Amino acid sequence: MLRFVRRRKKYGEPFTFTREQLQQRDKKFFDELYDRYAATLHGVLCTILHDTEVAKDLLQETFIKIWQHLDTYNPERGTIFTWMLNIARNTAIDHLRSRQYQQHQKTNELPDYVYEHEQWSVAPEVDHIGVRELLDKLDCDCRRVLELAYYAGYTHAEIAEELGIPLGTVKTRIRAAIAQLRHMLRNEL
Amino acid sequence: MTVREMIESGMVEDYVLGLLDAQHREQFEKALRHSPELRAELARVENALERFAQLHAVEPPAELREQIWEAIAQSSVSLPKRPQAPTAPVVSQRWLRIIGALAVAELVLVIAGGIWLERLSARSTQQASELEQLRERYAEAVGSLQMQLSNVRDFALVMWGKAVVVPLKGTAKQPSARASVCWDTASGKLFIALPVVAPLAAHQDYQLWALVNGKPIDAGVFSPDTLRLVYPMKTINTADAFAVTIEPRGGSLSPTLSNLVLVGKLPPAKPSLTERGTR
Repeated sequence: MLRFVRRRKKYGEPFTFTREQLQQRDKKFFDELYDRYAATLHGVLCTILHDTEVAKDLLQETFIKIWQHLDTYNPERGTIFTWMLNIARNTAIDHLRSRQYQQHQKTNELPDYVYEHEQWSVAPEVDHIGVRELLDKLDCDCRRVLELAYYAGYTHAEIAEELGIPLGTVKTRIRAAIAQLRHMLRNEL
Repeated sequence: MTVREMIESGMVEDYVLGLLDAQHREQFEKALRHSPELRAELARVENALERFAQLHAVEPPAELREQIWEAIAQSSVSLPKRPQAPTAPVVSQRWLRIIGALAVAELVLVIAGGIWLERLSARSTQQASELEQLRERYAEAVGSLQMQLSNVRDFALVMWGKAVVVPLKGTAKQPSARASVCWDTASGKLFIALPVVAPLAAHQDYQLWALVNGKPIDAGVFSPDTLRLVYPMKTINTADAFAVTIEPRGGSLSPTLSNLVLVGKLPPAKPSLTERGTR
């Protein structure tokens, strides 16, 4: 029981909302979404963009898109966070691509900022005590593969090319990274 | 691909990371709808990745929240107008939804009905004649039943009074034949009840004869019908016996004795009958 309470406090319950809330979409609902996801999405944007000013602008753009398309979210296809993350990620990638297009940087089509995430992985908040250790425990190679796929939207082939590893290894590492994450989360409970 | 294979091949992870092509994504989502196991696995992977993302969380500037809400409020001018007052419009919206649903249902019914009618009219030429035949047969059956009911009622009235029941027995021609003559001696009303006789050819009828001192008087014809209990016959005032012969359709003026199938005599001790007969 204690463990259960602790877990709820720590990770929060799955975010759920009613159809009424979806239709009304009032400030209260916005605040709930924002409180729960803004920092995480902002972190994702910072990691991809390597620029807090741009990240701030794109977080706004992301939330407007989320707000406008909320009724297209289908819970059967996954959690709302995965859905929101995709919007944030695509917004960031679109931004980078258009900027790169403007700058005629066609040779470097996808961002290399992703590598430098270390600088942007900000120290955990109070209720994330212990996560730093968790993060450190995650095998470095696995972690990079995961970040490239999860944040930067790289395909298997792009990751393989980027890191100079075989395609099969990319797939193995993605699975290994998530397996490690799950294992750590389980131990943490 | 089985759910097990999907899980073991890393398809779940690829799905969450957006790494599946359209075909595999569709395949995965289809499996997702049917497999609680796959849904549970998906939830676990998503949870792990969400936690992973939380590790990188960066608190945005405090003022950003209101700033974004302002921008949303402005951008939502282009969104469909949403009711400002929460309670009352919600109710009316619900009613609107119900009315909308009813309207749609009605439309579907009208369309379905239209299609049905069209199909019906396409076959109408053929069906109209069939329908007409059915209607005629139905009217015939109803008419026949009504007539029988009225016969039974008359019969019941006769039996209610002082009726004489004369059992008729089969002759050598139809040894197992049976019938009863029910005769109201007061009014002369006469019935054949529950005849058990062989079926006849189409050109034949059974004819009942009332015998007065051995002289036959035509008492009417009947065609046996398994559904009929009672056959009203002609009114007869005098008789001391009854006989049934097979005759050409419509009956004969005098009985064909070689075709005698049923005979029955009145009980002898009925002096009132002769009295009445002479009256």
